Amino acid sequence: MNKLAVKNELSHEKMTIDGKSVPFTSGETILDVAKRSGIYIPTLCARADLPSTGSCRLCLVKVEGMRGYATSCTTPAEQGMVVTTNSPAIEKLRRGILELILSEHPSACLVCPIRETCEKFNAPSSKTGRVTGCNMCPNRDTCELRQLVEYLGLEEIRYPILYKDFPLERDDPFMDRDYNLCILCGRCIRVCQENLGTSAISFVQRGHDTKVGTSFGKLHVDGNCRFCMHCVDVCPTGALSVRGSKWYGYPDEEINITCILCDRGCELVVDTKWGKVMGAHPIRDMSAGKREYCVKGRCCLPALFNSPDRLKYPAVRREDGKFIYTNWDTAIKHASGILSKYKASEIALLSSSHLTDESIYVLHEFARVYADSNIFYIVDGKLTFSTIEKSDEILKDIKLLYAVEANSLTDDIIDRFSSLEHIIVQDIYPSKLSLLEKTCAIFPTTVFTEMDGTKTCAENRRETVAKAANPPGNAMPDWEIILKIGNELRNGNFKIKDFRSIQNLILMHPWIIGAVPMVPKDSVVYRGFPIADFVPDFREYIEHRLKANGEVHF
Amino acid sequence: MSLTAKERMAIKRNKMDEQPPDLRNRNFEEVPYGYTPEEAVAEAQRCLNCKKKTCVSGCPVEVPIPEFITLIAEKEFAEAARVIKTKNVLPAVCGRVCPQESQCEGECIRGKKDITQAVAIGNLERFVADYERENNLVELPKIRKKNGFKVAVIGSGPSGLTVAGDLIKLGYEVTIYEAFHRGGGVLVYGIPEFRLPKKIVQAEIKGLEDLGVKIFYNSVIGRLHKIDELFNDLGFDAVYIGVGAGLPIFLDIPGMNLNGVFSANEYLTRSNLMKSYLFPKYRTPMIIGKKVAVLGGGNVAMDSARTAIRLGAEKSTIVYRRSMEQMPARAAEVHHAKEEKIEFNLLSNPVEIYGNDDGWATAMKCQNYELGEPDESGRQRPVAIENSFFEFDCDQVLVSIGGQANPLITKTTPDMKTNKWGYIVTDDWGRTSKQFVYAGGDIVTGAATVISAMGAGRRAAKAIHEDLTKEGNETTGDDGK
Amino acid sequence: MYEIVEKSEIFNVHKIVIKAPAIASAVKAGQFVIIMASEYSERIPVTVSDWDVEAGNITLYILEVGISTLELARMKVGDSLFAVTGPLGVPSEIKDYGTVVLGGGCYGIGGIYPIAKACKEAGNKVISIIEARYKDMFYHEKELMEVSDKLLYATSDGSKGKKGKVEDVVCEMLEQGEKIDQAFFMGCTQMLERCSEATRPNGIPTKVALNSIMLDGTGMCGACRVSVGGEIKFACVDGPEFDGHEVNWNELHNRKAAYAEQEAEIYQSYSHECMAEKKLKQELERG
Repeated sequence: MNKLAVKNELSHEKMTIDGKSVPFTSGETILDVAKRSGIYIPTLCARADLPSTGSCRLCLVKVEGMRGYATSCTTPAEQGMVVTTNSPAIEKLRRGILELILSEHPSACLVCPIRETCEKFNAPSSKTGRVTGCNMCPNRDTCELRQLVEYLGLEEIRYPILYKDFPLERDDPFMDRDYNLCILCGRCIRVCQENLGTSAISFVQRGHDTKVGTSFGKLHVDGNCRFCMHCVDVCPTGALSVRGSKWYGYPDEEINITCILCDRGCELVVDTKWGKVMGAHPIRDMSAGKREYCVKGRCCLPALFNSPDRLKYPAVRREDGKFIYTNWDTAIKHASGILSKYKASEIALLSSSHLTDESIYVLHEFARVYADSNIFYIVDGKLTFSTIEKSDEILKDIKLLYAVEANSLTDDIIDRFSSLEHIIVQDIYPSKLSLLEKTCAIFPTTVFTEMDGTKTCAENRRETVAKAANPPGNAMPDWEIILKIGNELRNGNFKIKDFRSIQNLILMHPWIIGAVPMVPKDSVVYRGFPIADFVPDFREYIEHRLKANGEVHF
Repeated sequence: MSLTAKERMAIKRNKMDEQPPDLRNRNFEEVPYGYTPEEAVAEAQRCLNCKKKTCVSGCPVEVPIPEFITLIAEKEFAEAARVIKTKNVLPAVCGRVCPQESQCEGECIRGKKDITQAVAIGNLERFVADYERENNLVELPKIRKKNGFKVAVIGSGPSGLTVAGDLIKLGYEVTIYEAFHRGGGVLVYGIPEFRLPKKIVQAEIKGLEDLGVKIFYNSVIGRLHKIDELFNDLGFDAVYIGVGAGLPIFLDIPGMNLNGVFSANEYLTRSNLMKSYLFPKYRTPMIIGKKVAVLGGGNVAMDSARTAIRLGAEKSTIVYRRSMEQMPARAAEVHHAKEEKIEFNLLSNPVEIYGNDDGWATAMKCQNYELGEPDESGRQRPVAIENSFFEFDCDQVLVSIGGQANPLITKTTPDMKTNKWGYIVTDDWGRTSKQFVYAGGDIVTGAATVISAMGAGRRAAKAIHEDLTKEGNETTGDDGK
Repeated sequence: MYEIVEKSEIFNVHKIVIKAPAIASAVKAGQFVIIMASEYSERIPVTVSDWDVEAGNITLYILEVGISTLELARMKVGDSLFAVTGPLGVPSEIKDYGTVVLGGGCYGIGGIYPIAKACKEAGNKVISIIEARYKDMFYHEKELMEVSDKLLYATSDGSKGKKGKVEDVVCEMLEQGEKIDQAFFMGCTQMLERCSEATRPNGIPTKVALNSIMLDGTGMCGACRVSVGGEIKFACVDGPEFDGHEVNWNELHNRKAAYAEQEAEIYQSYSHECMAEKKLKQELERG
């Protein structure tokens, strides 16, 4: 954007738009120029980040010297052009166009006099399958058609409304499609084909029967759709929707976060409502650049994080063997008591690539001070030590294991710890490990939407991890728990004092974060837990892909 | 090995090991773990085997208590269970929910000076019932030859199950009509999982089905069939009504219909019967308040308050008009509730519930009470203190101040006599004013206990048997000979 | 038990015909049943719109408005429902009123049929008014015409009948001097409120069939309680029909929105394969 502005400053090319003389760069369309000049021209099929096709005709403007009207989204600006973007005639045209578009869309609610009362009493829209009016549409609050109706002051549609009666398409995972709402703007096809190169959908049939569809009418999950939901993001109507996040109405807050399910670290916006993350979507104005979200961050976060099975309260095992829930102070003291019984060479820590930088740093520092740097990761089912000097040899001497990614431990890895006496588990969900006799303490911890911090992603980018929702029960971030234990042991001589000091230390010791194994983008687990175990649609998606291709990529 | 009386007197009551409060108030498992066989034998040895069996006189169904305890001391656990079952068909249930302190244990000689030292009759009953069930030692009782009579039992609560159990053994064809989709009545919807695991109720019902009892679920008598239709169209010879007193009572104060205000019945039914605590696996939703106020002082109030804590409430408070000593709830439940950090706001009564613009409860205004003159029953009556009010925040109010007779059957059976509160009028044996129609349990007495409902069922079964097999009565159904 | 013998869809309204002989023999106009699609489902009330005693079937019209109705909508002929309890509720009071107007919207179009039929049999002049957003959304018209002296339409877009809603037709009738002795309305809460307001000025006795959230349906929980004339009534045992001019509508709207959070949340963990389909698949796999 900056480059263009500078270019325009130096440009000698000028055009007149609504009486104003405006410089432009060759290659810009009239619509681009108007936007830049703060002049609003209504559009439906055009979007800043998509190539234009001029199909909806709403952006018609009068160009002096040209017969009829021109679509401003496709007409390039020319030196000396004189453009009028609005006039009674143009407005009449636009109304007529909108009426025609709406005559094949369930528009009864759009022009209903009691719409406001109706929507007030059905605060989130009624969760029907077939949309017969705005009141049942998941897109009600952000619908571009409604915005246009308001802008143009449309109060009636003079044409009989034709309901196309396409069957509802609800058999795919994640996505619901109701093409009876589709206005054939083609944005979804363009974003899929031209921006993403996937071509999962295109216009099928022709003439009056034209609709958006897949080849041979296959389900998206049987084709090559990646369920990135970009089509849903660009759709101006409610024809496309994400099933898990379409009925909560207006979110309480929209918070920018970084998804760290893999090392891509995509920026996402999460919707929060009722204190929970209810949905995720890209930043609304996608003109900031292409981002390829995958279905994991886009659709799976709520179900993955909000399951009622989340560990909520710290628990310790009493001498008589019974597990009791307790408060953090008691739990920390209990765990520290057990830790202090062992020599540093007898303690090992299992870390997780999914942790934030702060948690990783604190874990490594703890390992250095109290566990002889015996810290390892599990990559592809194999034990990988953080320091090259360490090898599997030391496992037979380990008497206490502190596991932060407990679900990654397979039975044969556990068996290699032949002298194991105690296990401490710090995790988000219960796992087989947490049920073992040797487990003496369970600490509930947070996921990345419930804590602040940073994460180093691919290409060494450091992204912000932002807290968007409250952790369940008394769960605490990993770094905070380790910090408390570290300070409890040896009476507070643990070097790290607080959150801020961690961030400085990370910068001073970049090799620590640098040595953490990356989470590949094809990973289907979070902290060792298969995402498919918590998100049934995800299970279906990868099962289909594996059956079709033998592998699944994101 | 036989102990002398002196030796027996020396043994202190065996405490049943329990889940500690900090753990149990977060899960739905039973609080007491149950006796080990060793603990049971040790406890059984405390019984003095008195000549005058005061404990039996305290039991509404006269379970042969010293007899079964002696068998436990002799390690004959399954036999002990069978002895109990001659009088009480649901020992696993009663051992857990009976208010023993005012029944059998209340009469125990060993508890005369200190009730906490009475022989733990309830714990022992629970032990043998669980032992029998868990070790697959339950024997199906012998059934007499079919006598051709058909009896309809309305309601699969404790009294209905008792009647069904007694009559099927005597050779009757028994059909239970249950309104819900699961059987057990208050045992399954009212009493929480952590007090009475549902698998126990299921086992009992299965036992009855194995004996031949037919159960029709989702059948609301009074709507699906009227009582007369049961006789005339469906060929039943007698009908037993055990539908309970489940109509919830709400206070006549402003704010009763705000969101967040529930009857304890609704709250517990969502949690216990519909398993809302496993939402979203079980899709019945439930509102989980952070600051919960429970109105009432009975067992239902305790159950509601303790369920609220388990579901994640930060604070759970009992608001009761009378004092702690006057609370009708079972002593063990009050004790457990206190341990689980339930708060008690006694001698208070709400006068208004406040709500916000969206219709959700936000706070409650209560009036302070004090104890005044005793009423006819001897209890000191609570008297409102004028102009003495206080408010406290709450986002959920559970109203558990009692239940009334459900009018569904009585309204549709106009020729059956009821009293002015809608309860069915019966003689001491459960006979109503309509011939061959019997009733027992809460629908007759008003809200009472599981064991008294069972006692009523027992007596009614006897009356049914007597009346049907009297001279001159003929079967209206298939002749079973 | 409770097998689905017929199923079809008109827009979001699903016609489900279930085999339930005992209920078919006992049900009367105005009563409802409480159904559970699977053992994990909610208990929801649905008006019984038709029944065939000989065949032992009952017909329900269910509007898909959430997870429980979505589950039902996706069931197929041959599937069985887990539970159907009924008939519940006080039957409609049927007598010779004179001229009876019945208004139905959404599922109410099918729901008013048995009441219209009973009123006709009792000797009333029956005028049925049905509303929808478009003309294609109407159903059960032939049956309604058989039991009504007049069948009037109201559409939001004017594609059939009067442009507007049921209450607009009622107002028009009153302006034209038609005498109405009794009105019955069935539909969404808002529609009931608006229609009641339309009949209030002339003091026409109005019965509305409320659709409160219910749990047991037999009067033991109070989930369905409404304020009618300042008193607390249970829609399941005192209703479902009440005097439309006495209902506290504001309170009812609030109570119906009590579970909005859970209703939205459940879609996150619900797989598009409903429980019935899954079960069937498992059974087929077991062979």
